[in-house]
Order: sequence, then structure tokens, then C-alpha cells
Amino acid sequence: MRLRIRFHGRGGQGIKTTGRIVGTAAFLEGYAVQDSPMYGPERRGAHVISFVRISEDGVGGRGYIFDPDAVVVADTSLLSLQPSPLQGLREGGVVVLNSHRNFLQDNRYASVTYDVSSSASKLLGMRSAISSGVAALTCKALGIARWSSVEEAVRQEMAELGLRQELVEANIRLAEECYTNPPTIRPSTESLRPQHVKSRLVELPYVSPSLSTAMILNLGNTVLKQTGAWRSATPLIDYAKCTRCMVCFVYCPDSCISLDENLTPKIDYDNCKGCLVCFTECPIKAINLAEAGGIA
Amino acid sequence: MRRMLTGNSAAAWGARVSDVDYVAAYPITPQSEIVETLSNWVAEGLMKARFVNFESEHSMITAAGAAALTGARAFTATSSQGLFYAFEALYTVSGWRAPIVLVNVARGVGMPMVLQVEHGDVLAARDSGFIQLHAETCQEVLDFILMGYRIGEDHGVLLPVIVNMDGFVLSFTREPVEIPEKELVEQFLPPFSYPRPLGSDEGSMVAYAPTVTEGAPYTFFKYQLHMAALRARQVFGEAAKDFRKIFGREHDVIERFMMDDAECAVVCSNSYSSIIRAGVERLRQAGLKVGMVRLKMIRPFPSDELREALSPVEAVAVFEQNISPGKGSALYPEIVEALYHSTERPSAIVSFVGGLGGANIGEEEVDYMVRVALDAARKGRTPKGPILVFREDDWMKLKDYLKIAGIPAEVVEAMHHV
Repeated sequence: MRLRIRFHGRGGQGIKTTGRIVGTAAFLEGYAVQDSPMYGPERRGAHVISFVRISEDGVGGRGYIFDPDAVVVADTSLLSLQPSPLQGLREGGVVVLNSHRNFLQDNRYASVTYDVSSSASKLLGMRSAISSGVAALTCKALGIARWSSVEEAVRQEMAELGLRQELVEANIRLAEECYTNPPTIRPSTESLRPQHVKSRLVELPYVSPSLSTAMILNLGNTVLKQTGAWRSATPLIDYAKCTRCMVCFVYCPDSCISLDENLTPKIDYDNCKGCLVCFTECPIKAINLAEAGGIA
Repeated sequence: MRRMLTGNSAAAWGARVSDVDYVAAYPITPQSEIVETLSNWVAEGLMKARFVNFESEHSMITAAGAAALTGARAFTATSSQGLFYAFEALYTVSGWRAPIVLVNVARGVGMPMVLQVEHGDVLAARDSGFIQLHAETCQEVLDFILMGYRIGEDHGVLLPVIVNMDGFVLSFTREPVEIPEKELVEQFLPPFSYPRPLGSDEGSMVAYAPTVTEGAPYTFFKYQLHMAALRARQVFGEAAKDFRKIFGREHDVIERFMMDDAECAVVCSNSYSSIIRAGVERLRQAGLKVGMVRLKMIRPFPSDELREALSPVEAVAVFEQNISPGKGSALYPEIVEALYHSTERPSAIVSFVGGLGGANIGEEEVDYMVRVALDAARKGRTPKGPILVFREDDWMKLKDYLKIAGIPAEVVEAMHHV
């Protein structure tokens, strides 16, 4: 077996830990393994990528995997990104999706779909990390490790994080559920045809120092960033209950709550990251939650 | 014991199994995990060492050196801006002949600030009198710490050692690492003894670090550093022999990969060598006679071994992750110099610079470098280097970033690559 897997998810889902659990499980099965996260903005909701390379006789390569044999997508909203998380995936490769339905209509790839998030909501509570579930699903879907190794790997990595015993057991139950139900599609990596994602090399031009000094001319450009896309849960104000006490307005760390002339709070959903400080602080519990897709 | 470890935890384990007495610490990304791990182990009593947090890297390195002068085995770690902040202290501790081990987690040097890998930091320290060992894998990080103490503490050498690993690409990547048993390490690494240690009866009669005021004594002491560094080459050989006997792993100052019958060689160092290795294997499958030569020791510079390995080759591509504005790169001149006096030498030695600040390279880039080098050898004309390895997808990304930073879109669109 020679497998190079790229994981895509959002900050807070536990994508780094997912890679580590899969790596440890493969290691326990006796494979040569390399796992690494790609650090970008270490923020809840931001796009996070990690990599696992598995082989029988020594791992080739290092760093970014441009042409993976399998891609795991822990948050399907990422599939609309450009470039797509599937970029470079070899023809005949496998897509593993955390979703309640398989909406990937692409006959170049095989796919395995399982709703890890729903199981995690039941077992761990809403907005918890789903690493143990996604890792177990990956191990099963790609035929990487037996259940005993997956269970041991979850235990080891959860111990590394210093989780409470009951939370470890809940994670084991989540992993077991995500391992038992889905089928295995082992990609036959020999037959996979690489996609032509070759990038040309370019020669840099000389640019005047007034344009080629590292500087930001466009101050306040974070508004262009629409950090609302990072949100994995959305606060909703129940205006029938709201007493206009202004506590949410004061506490919002990103100034995403403004007040109108009647002191009615309004949430700027283009930029609200879904940190839920307002939800926690509201003294009369007039702020409810919707999963990201609910409203905005 | 074989475990999955990051490069950073492998470094911490290297210090732990070396039974260090003193850890001097100051955090910096991507190194912090090393000193955090050691601090936990010391607090839990798993390591019998003194752990001290400093107010800066300058004091940290000075204190580590001073600890070594008392006969304590001292360990420290830093990266990039931290290494530069300690720059003066590097020359101080090598001049003291204090054999500490410093793990540098390579990172680009601001401005602009970046967290990812390049070797502009560690190579700037190449004239500081430190021995330099550069690791490709997490296992090598651990092994080189053991080798580093063994070589640096040798009474014929007494020099500090930098063990370099790449930030992120190695520091945060996990691989299976063999952690050696204590008994085996004791066979390889005898307890540290410093001649006339401070604090001993003998040492209390010594004043270190005098000012010499004149050229002759200054030259004498400086040139001793040079000769000690050259001697470290021999001591490396002896240490490597014992290392193989005790731990079963092979280390040399350079690595030759697929070099028998090679017509073209890619010269490289550190973690990106794994990418180059994969690219070389692919080119071999396509029938090209290509090999790789990896520098594992940078100081002393392995000129003789490089000459021996590269003289029979037609074309050489040197890939480096550092930039020297106004010149190109740091190691290319050293490699060319190593070959210049050889009667039989490659027809072309081409300089490439890439992977700066963690920029990605893939196997296609290896393909490209090999073809350019072979073409240059065939035509007998070496293109002016360094040739920058910069991907078109990175160029497109860059243009987007410039627009976000406020450079007008029409100005950005008018920028064309050559």
C-alpha cells in the first residue's frame, strides 16, 4: 500500500488531530508513516489542511501533497472554494466526505460519505471537534487500519491532548460508529493516473521599490476578508426577548454587533466569526444558535 | 522504543537521552515546542536538569555557554530572529570553547516577517565557530544531538554545535523515531568533562574571556577555532563508526543517493531533500542517470567528500533555500570552490534558489533543475545563477495579495513575469 492523503477542514474541527490519529493508526499497523499539518491562520473556522503519507517500505516526499490518492473533506462548504480541495486528486482516487448526503457527482473519483457531524453532535455536543470520527471514517474507507489500532490511536492522541476520561470514551464511541458503518474502498494506487497540475516556473520581473516593499497601502482592508465565512455556528437574536441591555454589543470582540437608534443590536453576518461570546454573555439568554447553514 | 515524534519532540528527546544538566530557554515559533516539552519533563522529574527561562536569546546562549564551562552539559534552542538576537553570543561561546548543543529550527528572516523555513538564519552563523549538522528527518534530529555532544565535547575539539532542522516541514511533522535506551547512549556518549571547570578548585583559578588588544594573540586564538573545526571532521568519522556499532544507523558528512553511474547530481540539504529524493527516483524510473548529494555537515565544510562525489558527474544542480542579495546564495560558491581545483570536474554547476519562506516545491521542480543542468553541460554554457525556482501558481497568488494590500489592480495586472 502507498497512500498519500490530504485532509481539508475548518479550524476547530480537529483536522491536525485527525491526521495524527490516522498516522498513529497506520504506524500501529506497522506502516512507514509521515503526518504533518499545514499551519495557516490558526483561527476557528479558517481553512485547515493536513497530510498523511503511508507506505510499506519508506515514505517518499515531504511537505505539501499536490497529487493525493485520497482527499478527506470534513466540511463540505469548502468544496465551493477556488482552488477546490479536490485539486490534483488522482483519477480513480477516493473522496471521503463528512456529509449527510453524497452530492459529489464526479465519476473520476470513488467516494465514501458519512455524517460524522450528526453523530458527533449526539455524542460530544454541538461544535465539538470531530477528529476521532473523521479519522476512524478515513481509516475504514481507505482500508488503513483495523478497529483495534484505530481505537488505540484515538486513545493515544486524546491522552496527548489531556482530555477527561469521559470525553475520551465519548470519542471512542464516535470513532466506533464512524468505523463500523461505512464501506472500504481501497484505491489501487498503481492504476491511478496523475492529473496534470504541473505549474510552470516563472521568472520574476524587477518592480520599482515603491511597489515592491512589503507594505499595506489599503489600511483597514480586513473588511474585504468577509470573516463570516469562518463561522461554524451562527448567533441569532430573539428580538421578542431582547431587553436592549447592550451587553452583547459591549462584549463582541470583533465589533460585529452594532446598535440602532432604539439600541436594538444588529449582527454583521459578513464578518461575525461565530465565536459565540454574545451567546454566552447574554444575561437573559435571548441569543440562540443555528448551525452555520441555518440562517445568515 | 519506536514512536511517532515531531522534529521538535525528537529534539527534546535528544536532549533528554543525552542526559543534559542545563536547559537555557526562550520561546520562538517554530521552536517553542522543544523547550515546552523539556520544561514539562523537568517539572515532572523525568529529567534531572536545571531549566532556566531567560529574558532574551542573547542571555540564553551566553548562559548555556557559561554552564558548559562549569562542566554541565548544556542544551538550548532557537530560530531565525532569535538566533540573530543572540549573534554576538554565538562568537562568545565558541571563543570560550564551550561545547553546547543549540538546535536551530530554520525559519526565514524578517523583513518581511515569516514563520516558515529557509536557511538564511543558520547559514548566517556559518562563520561563528559552531559545528553545523543539518537534518533531513526527525530521526536525524535526535541522532545529530547525540553526535553533536560527542564531537563538540571531544577534548581535541571543544566547540559548540548547531543542529539544524527545518521549521514546520520537520519541526511539526511526525515520523517514526527510534529513541535509544539509556544504556546504549551511555556507551556512545561518555559523561562530559570540561578541562578546568569553573567552580572546581582548578577552575576557580581561571579567568575566562580576557581582552587581548593585539593582533597576534587574537589571530592565534581565532585560528585555533578553524583548526579545531577541521579536526571535528575526523572526530565525526570516529563518532559515526561507534554510532553504527551501537545504534545500527549510518551517518556521514554527506549522503550519496543513486550516485553510482550518475551523470547529473542535485546537491541539497535539510528536509526538502526528501522531495528531491522522490524527484530523483522518478527521473531514474524515466531512465535518466540522476543522483543526489546531500550535505549533512556544513561546518566544517565537507570539501573533500564533495569533490570525490561530484568530480565524475557531468552536470550539477545546487538547490539552496537562502538568498544573499547582490550575490545569490551562500553555499554555491563553497561547492564550486571545492570542485575548482580538481582536474576532472563537472562541465556545468548551476545555482538554484527556491523554497524561501516555506515556498512549495514539487517533484516537477526537481525535473526542471536536472534538465537545465544537463542542458548546460551539453552546451558547455552555464546560465547565470541563481535561477529562482518560483511557481506560476505562487505568482498568481502573489498578485492577489498585492491587490488586497492596496496596490491598484491595473498596476498589478501590468506586472508580467519574464
